Amino acid sequence: MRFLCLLLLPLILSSCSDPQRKFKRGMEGTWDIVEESIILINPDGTTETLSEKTDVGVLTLTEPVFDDGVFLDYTLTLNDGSFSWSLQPFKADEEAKRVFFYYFYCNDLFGCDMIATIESDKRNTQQWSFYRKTGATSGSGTAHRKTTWVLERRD
Amino acid sequence: MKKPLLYFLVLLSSFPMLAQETGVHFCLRADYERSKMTGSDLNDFFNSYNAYYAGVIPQEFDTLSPHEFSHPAFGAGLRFLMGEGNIGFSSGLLGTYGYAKRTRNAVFQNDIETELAMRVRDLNIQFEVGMYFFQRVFIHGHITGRFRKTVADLGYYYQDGSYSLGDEYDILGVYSGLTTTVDLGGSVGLKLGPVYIPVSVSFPTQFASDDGLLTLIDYDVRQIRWTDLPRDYGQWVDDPVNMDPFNDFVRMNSLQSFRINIAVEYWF
Repeated sequence: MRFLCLLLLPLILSSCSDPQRKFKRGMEGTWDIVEESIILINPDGTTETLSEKTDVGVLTLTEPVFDDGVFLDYTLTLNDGSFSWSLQPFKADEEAKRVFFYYFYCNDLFGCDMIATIESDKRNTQQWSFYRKTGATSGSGTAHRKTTWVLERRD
Repeated sequence: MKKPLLYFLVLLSSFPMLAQETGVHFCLRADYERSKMTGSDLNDFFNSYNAYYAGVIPQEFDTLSPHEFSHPAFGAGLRFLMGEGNIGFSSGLLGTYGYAKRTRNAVFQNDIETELAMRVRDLNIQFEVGMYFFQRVFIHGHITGRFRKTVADLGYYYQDGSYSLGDEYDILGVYSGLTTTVDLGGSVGLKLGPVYIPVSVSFPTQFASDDGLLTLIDYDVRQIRWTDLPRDYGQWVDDPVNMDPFNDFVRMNSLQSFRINIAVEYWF
């Protein structure tokens, strides 16, 4: 019994799971992209709403065939898009601050992934934003196009 | 959170059993670590970023002081005493965990703000051996396995307050790395009843060092430009091809630290 404490300490440590795996466990399943907003952030600080949509599409995250512990496969269908993504790699980073949609823009190794910043991480709701540089409509310099998705878990 | 709490309550319930054993003592420990970093690679990044954007960055990055990552820590361990009278043998095996975070910001003329939010998590496993005198005064030498996990979020706040760690600029990302050292040191302590108060000094050795091979890196990103955090930001932007992978990035061994700890232990 005297070493009971020593035996328990690893259990205490192991019970604190890392954010990346916890996020992965929470994300597996089907999510509706219920809202999308696209805004333009101009260099002078003004913003313009470029579009606002509801019922945007469906994101399904499934366990990959060869599971290495942190990846899921994403299948993404956007309702008004002519392209869909099927079983491509998806994961959050180690700190669960970003999500990675690999091979989102193209199929090359570099420059094709989409990285979104996690703005809200709740059990049944997620909010992610991703950005692109673009021309400004007000002020001089580079503007940034911010796309925000709100996702809700499908029962 | 319920699971760790349950384990902790079970842990507490076993203390009376341990206290009946002479010679071996379970202890809980709280300490404060005053550390001094041996390297300045992060400051090289800050200084080179400021220099590259000189003239368009009215609020520059402040650099880090060498003591910036000092922090409190908590832990537990076992103490073993053997001897009679006024002198005896003492040893201990301790584990402690400490955490510090610091943030640095730079603001461009166009109000885009660059933020580097840094976190260090230090796990120390320390073995001590020494002598005690008059049941009160202890002198130990120690060897410590020290594991420092560093994570740095480099993000932009845009003019409307939106925060991005995305891929629209190559430098944005979450950089992380592990600094592993074997530290040697010594301590002097005073025991007052069940409370033990040691003061220790520890020096990092280069035994099992990675010799600068490991860098602060964004593991998840796939981009043509280096994904390590550069020491010279200007070269990373303008001449990335000629960067030296062993010297031109923030090396994990630059986050090694000399440290002084003052602790309070309760022996059961």
